[in-house]
Amino acid sequence: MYRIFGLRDELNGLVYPIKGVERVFENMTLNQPRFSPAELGFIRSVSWLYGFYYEAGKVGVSFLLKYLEVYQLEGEGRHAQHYQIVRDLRTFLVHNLNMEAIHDKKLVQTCQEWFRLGCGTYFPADEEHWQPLLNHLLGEAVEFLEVLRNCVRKIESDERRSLICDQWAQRIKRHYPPHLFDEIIPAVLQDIGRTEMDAIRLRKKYYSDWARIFETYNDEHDFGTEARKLIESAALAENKNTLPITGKDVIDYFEIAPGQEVGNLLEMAKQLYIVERCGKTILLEKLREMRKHEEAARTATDDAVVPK
Amino acid sequence: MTKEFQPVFTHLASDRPTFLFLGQDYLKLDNGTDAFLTSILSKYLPQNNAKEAKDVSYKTLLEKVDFGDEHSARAWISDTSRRLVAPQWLEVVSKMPWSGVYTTAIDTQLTRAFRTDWRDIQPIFSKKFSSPDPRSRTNLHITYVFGCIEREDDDERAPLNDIDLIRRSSDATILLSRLSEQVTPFGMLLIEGYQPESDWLGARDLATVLLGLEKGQAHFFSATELLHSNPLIKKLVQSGQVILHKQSLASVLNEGYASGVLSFEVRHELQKEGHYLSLGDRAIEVPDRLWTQTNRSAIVLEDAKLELPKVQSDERRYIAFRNFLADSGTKPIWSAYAAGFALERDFERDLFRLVQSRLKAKGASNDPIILHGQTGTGKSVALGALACRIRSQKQYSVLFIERRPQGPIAADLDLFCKWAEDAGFAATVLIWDGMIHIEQYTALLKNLLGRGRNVIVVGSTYKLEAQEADQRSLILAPSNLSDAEIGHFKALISQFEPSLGNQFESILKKFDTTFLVALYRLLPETRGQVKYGLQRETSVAEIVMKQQADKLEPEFAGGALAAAFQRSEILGRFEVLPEDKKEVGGEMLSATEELVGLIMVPGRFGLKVPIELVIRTLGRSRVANFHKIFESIDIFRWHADNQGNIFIGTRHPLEAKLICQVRLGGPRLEVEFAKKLLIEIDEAGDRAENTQIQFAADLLRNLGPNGPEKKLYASYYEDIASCLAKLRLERGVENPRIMLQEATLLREAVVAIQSDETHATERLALLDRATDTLKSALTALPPDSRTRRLRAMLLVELASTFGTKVREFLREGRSTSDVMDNFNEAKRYAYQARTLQPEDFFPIDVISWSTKDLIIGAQIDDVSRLDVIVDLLSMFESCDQESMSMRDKEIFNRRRVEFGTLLQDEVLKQDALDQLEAMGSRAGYYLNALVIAQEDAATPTITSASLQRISAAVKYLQDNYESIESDGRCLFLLLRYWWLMKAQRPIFGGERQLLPFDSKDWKYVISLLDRLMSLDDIYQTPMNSYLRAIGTWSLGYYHDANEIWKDLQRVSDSVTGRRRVAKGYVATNPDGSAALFSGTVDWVAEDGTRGKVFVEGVREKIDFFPRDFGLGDLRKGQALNNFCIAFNYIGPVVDPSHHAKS
Repeated sequence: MYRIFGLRDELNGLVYPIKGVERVFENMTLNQPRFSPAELGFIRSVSWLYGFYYEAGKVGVSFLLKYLEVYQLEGEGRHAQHYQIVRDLRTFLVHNLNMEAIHDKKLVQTCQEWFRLGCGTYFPADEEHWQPLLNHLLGEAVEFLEVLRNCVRKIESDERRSLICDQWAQRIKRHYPPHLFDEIIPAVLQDIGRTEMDAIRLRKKYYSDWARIFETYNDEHDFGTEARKLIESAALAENKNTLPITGKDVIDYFEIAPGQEVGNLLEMAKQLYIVERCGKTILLEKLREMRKHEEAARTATDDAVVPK
Repeated sequence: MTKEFQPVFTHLASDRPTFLFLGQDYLKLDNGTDAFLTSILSKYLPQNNAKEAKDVSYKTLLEKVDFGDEHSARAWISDTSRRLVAPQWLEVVSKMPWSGVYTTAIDTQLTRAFRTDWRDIQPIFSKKFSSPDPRSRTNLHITYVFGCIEREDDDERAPLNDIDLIRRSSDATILLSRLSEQVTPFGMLLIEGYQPESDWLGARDLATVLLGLEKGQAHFFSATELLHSNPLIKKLVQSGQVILHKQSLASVLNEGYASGVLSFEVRHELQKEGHYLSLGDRAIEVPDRLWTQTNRSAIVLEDAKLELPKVQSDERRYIAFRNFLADSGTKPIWSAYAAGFALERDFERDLFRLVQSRLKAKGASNDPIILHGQTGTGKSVALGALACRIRSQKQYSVLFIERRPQGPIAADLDLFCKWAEDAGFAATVLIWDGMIHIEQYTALLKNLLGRGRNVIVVGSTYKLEAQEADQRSLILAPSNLSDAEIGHFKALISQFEPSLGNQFESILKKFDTTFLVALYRLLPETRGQVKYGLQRETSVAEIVMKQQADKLEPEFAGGALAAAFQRSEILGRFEVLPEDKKEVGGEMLSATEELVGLIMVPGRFGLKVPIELVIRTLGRSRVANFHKIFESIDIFRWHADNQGNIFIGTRHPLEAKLICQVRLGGPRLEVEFAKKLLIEIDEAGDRAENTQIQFAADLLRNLGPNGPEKKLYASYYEDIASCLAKLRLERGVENPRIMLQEATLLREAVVAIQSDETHATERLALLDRATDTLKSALTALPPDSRTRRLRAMLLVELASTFGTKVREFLREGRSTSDVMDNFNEAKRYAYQARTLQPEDFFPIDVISWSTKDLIIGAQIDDVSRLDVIVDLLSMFESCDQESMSMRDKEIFNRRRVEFGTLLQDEVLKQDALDQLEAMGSRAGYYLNALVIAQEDAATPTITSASLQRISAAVKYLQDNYESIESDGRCLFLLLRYWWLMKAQRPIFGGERQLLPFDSKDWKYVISLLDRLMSLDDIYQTPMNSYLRAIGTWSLGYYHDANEIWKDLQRVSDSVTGRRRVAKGYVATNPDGSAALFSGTVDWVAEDGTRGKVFVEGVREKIDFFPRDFGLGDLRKGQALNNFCIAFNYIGPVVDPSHHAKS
């Protein structure tokens, strides 16, 4: 474990001078795992490494992995596999999986194959199995970090260093960790009168969507403004007031087939209901009128010949 | 969800083609700076500084940079390009399953960015490359319009100066010209990162491409003010040709994802991994490469397809049922079987029983199981149900081939079947709903059996005539519903609305199964309307009675269908395309009417037309709003295969047939439409896989005399053939497959006008055209093993044509020498065909009827007549009947009997025979030997009396050896009789035969074979080589024998059927007992399925299959004792001794 920490510090030290990058790994709040008994040590180590690679090193690690092939450090793919197996093992050890779902089935197979290679059995049961697995995992982690370190060294001496570092900095710029949202959410909720909402729960539910959206924004965006829009939209979507009509009501009333149109009509109904709450019959009538207007507007601009 | 993007989301959620165009500014989208470009300029234009970074473009590279040593510059830039990492927005965009990408960028990043575990990349840098699957989502084509910096060849590399750009521009135009055809009127083009002012592709050039699309198909994203203000782009926007969006494509996709309309999860069918087949209680994963390869040719019926559909609302279930009714006639809807939508017909039980009995039988049959019946009798649904039922047993693997424009590749199926066997599946059931000739199923089956595959083929075809249908492997799908079936149907339909069953009962009793085709149109669109629909409008019964009063074609049993059409007003609803009329076959037709004809004519045969062909035939200007037709009229369907090829077809062949009858009025206009399509055929990409050629071949086959309508189009065969000649001579499409069809039609045209004496000259002229065409086709065909079968078919057709000429000459009373010349030509080409495909029956059939015509009609002397008969008899003898299908065997035996009778009449005259012998005629020796042997083909058992006669015949031939040694017919007869005499069994008398031959006997066999095979190519058959190989081996010349087997393996690819892998003989001692050997394992494959044994005494490594011995976990050096050595066409193989019969 000390080796891992040492490599972490070495990596952070190497990238510190890079403007806009400054570190590969953020600080970890998780405690260093204890390794005894071995099974518990294994589970904790998986959890810790997951946090290390996928949270503390979220941007840096995934970025450096893309350069392993360029600098011929990919080691026949085993480093990328280690990165992936940590994720898979974490899912395997923490969640109840659905063996009917192909993705889950594959994940289980992958983990079990990794177990077999590490300790000779698909189903580790005792210390005799878990100890070598723990050693194997930590050994892979050390090798992985060494390769990342070597990759940074290569970048350091690469003639196109600035191109690479600019791209890295771009990624970091667009990465907004959860705590930045946590700072804004309460204020937004207050502004829209939704103070009863649990800010942390809201952030946990929507953070991955927000993060993905921010990754695609260009440099001209303002985090505060855009974050606010996303938070407000999410908070309003959490509105628990249910409509007096259902999709089945829409299908029956409009005599349409199940599909996207039903969803669109329910969206429209939601808008109407927000403006004025009413009963089922009135809502359906209003919806019919709204639909008629929309169709008329569409027909006026459509240049298709309507069939007889 | 923003309404602005609704059409984009709707499109992306569908299966329609979606193309991406990335301009040269795509790397600027993040922060206004292209770091790659900046990096290049920093090195090669140092005076360029950061302040100007946002103003530079790839034009700057051409205008301001002098690269000096361009080769080194390319290397440096290419290396820099490798250091590019896909921007995060591109990672989002790349997740979508695009149909294709076009880019004006020159870096290499896109290939990396779009490559995933479920998608390969096919980069295209040059106009020289064209692909058979340009819209494949799993083999994504990225077209680099201006080449790529990484490439070195002139026509592939990106320009680095103005002159090179000018040179490249014409290639760029050609590459871009493909885009609109690939997008098709159903597709969408999404453009990102494009600025006309800075891109090498100017607005005018891009506009040319965009104008080839329909309005609303092209969408620009990240549209800046600069783009909006470009005059040309402005005009395109105003006319509705393109739509500009301010938002970036990535953010729009994210919005779609967030609202649940789009998913970034790849559809299961596109994924290479995660496909399982259950075997008992094990789930076996199909390897990803095998999955991809097999899916080119067939659907692998994996577990996921048999799963019960997710819980559905009643409304959704009704829609699903109606969709099943809509489409199940042309493709399997797997979820529908689990959902219980398919009506089980009585014949399905017989079909299942027959398949089961074949699966359990020990020996393989050369005959496929055929389900035959008229259109609309439920064959497709039945075959789908059969597939599900077999698969659900979890013992056998199942491949299903739906009606598809491209035939399956036998090698793909062979690979899968082998994998399945190795994985432990008892056999593979291959179900092909092809509606093709039985011969094609037989050919595929024999091909797979010849490779040792344990496979059963089940196929579909049109209703066979009574005498053809009298065979055990045929099942008829009758047109009428039985009482039991009516009862089942009532129960099925009542699930959705209780009253429906009773309402339909009286209709069901009146009509045949075409009613089921009509059901889709009779049922309202939604479940909610069912009750109201039937009550509000005229009942079905009233419509039908009205229709009968209108006297629709009485022989067309589609009364209910016609009624359904009338109710839904489809026949009158063609108003969507431009109204200008064009002349077709003497009639002025609107674009809509033309489209109907172009789709319905092939559609009535279940054929789908490649979209490129439809557009080319209609003409670009007449396909505006094309996609709207398909939204508003649901008699058309568009289909996409696994490779992204798009086809237009009909909902059901029966509907197409009805529309053809009602709208086109008869074969004349149908032929005109067929010709319109045929003349626009184009060859592109790999010849073997060209969908248009395949379509043309299928259409011609269906229009021809062997099509479902038999000779309905006979009066037009010459016309169609002339159209094909025009395609060849004027359009330059010289495809041997099409030329074969052309020649066949010409010959059949002759048959069609045979009754009219005044057309004799015309008939001969047609036959001359046919022979010229066939000879050109043979010249055009490259001589490699892949074209072997086609070459053989061309030769057979050539033989048939000469045979037909013989007939014509005889009718005309032409001279004997003219007749004989043509007859000899017929024979020559038939023999050549037989050399290529020794197991094909067609060449024999051609020689048979030609010979019959000759000896009955020609004035030839006795010697010549007998010579001709002997040739034919000799050919009959050399046929391996066991390898024939039942149908071929029947025809073969009929011919034998015919000639046997003819021969009896000739040969009973002993003095005639004496005369022949005195003249030294070899035919005479042959016939005398036949008379002495008095073989009875009907009773093949050897008795002591027959043995005596055979021995006498052998002695006779041996005594006259000097006279007959140059006559292959006599030599083969001698070999055959000698073998019968010594072995007391015919040459191919079963498997694992033990031969009581000593070394003297084997030497004799080899000497006969050597002499025989040196006489003529026609005796260099796999069978003769096989016997030679066994003989050589038995004499101890193992190395020489292996050399013969090496050649035989190669040549025997043309040998199909189990004969190739069947262990015909076992190595024996001179007394006829099986020779026993011992040895040690030399090698075993990792999967334990095969290996080699070093055999003591023989000192050779011989193939063996551990499974035959029931052995597992074998190791090198392990002893194996007391085994036999058997022989097949592939070589010697170690065989367990308990198989050997004494």
